[in-house]
Amino acid sequence: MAAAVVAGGLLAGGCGERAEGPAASPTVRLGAAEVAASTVTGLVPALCQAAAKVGDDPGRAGATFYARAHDVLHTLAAALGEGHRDLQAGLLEAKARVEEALAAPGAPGAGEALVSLAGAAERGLAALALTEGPRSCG
Amino acid sequence: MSDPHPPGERPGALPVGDTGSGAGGSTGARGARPGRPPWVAAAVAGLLVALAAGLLLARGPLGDGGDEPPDNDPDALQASVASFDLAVGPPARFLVGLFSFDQRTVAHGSVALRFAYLGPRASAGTAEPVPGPEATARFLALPGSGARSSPTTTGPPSPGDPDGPRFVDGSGVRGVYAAEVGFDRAGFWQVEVTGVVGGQERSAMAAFEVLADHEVPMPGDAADPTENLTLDAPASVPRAAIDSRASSGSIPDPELHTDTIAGALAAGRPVVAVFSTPVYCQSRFCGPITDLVGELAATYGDRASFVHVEVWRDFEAKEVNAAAAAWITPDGNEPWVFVIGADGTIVARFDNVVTADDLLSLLETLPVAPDPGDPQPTPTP
Repeated sequence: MAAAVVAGGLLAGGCGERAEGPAASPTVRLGAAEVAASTVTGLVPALCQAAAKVGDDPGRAGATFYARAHDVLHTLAAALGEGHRDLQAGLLEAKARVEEALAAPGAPGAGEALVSLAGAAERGLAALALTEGPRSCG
Repeated sequence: MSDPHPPGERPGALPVGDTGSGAGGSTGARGARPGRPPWVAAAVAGLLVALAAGLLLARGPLGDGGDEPPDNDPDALQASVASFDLAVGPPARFLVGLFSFDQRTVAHGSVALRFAYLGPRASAGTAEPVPGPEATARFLALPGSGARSSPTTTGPPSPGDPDGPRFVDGSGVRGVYAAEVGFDRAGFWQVEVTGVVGGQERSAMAAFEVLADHEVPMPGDAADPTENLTLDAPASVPRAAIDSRASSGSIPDPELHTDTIAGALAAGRPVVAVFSTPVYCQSRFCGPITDLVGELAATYGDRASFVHVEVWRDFEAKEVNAAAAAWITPDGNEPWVFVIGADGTIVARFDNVVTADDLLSLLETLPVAPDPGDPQPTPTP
């Protein structure tokens, strides 16, 4: 798993009223939003999967990006606005480059842009103590 | 809400860029009525987070009317108020988005809204809510998302409606639920959203603030004669300050960066102005709404000037374009679309989501206006 959620981060950021640990705490707080932990752990892998697909099937890569990453990227960006403006800017700019690349015929450069976005997402999650740190799409 | 800090001394206040915009002498949204400083908005956002947490703690699991998702229910709902600038007054559009905890959007059909007043301060969130208005909200599709808005409803949602609300995982369909709602007092409110989603009745709650007065210009107000940035801006102006998408290349939608609001008003032309930041948008809607305005510009350029005002001079430095600061309270409260008549009066405003039908119905009623660049007809004796 590219973005293993640190148990401490989940416990600190989760609902708070549950004490059983990550297995019984399916949500994590991202700024003002509360999202499923699986959505957070699945973000970087989804971006890496999209990057891996884009050469053969840009359409599927785009579908993966929009279905599994796009909205949580916005939520992550909003959370980063509370103290990590530089990471927030980098994440949103990387996302915009992906969207621009995916919109072009054949999606040239989308693979590289998706890998870059995965790195920006990892840095953001790490800043919020939600991952162990960058592992990228390796 | 008064501002105890003079300009420049506000903790965390967003600096306004020197864009060459006089912005009509206005120092903030709502013209002579100074807008709430962004640091207050941030503080309110923090309070709402705390309030939401209070709601979670004060109520039981979903089956008891609370928001905490059961471990084994991936379809538990969350609600997020999508309106900006809610204030006391006659019924106005209220927007709320619905999604699951794994970020799947709920779309289509209609849902029931039940409001309650919590108190004048966020800390009053643990008090007994005072019941307020109720309404039925219909789905309002985001332009370009491949969905259609639901028809206007007059009755409550029907449980057996095959076109009712449902999760739209991966379809790209996006939108919010909209209803006309009036609030009779300022302070903190909650909305309980109930709908039959995917065949099962579900509910979610969200808290929000209602202001005593609007901070963003309203229909009937005189439009600020804003000197927004255009393609003719000096080379010293970052291209991304004209359109945030320009940071990765050329400026898209150049037809939206030709006129200034001030110039159009001086020429007696109606204006459709979108205030947005497509790259740095928090609402997810800036790009599609800006694209919609650009598409309408191609067809209705004979009726109005179409203008995109980028919110940020420098996003990372939190420096706002002066033209945006003259109209809206940025940093999370965008996009906005304003329609201004030829007489300089604001005809309509749309926060966050506007549909093509909304704008078309207004554009169709506007008289064809002369383009200031066109030769004027010679008066007949």
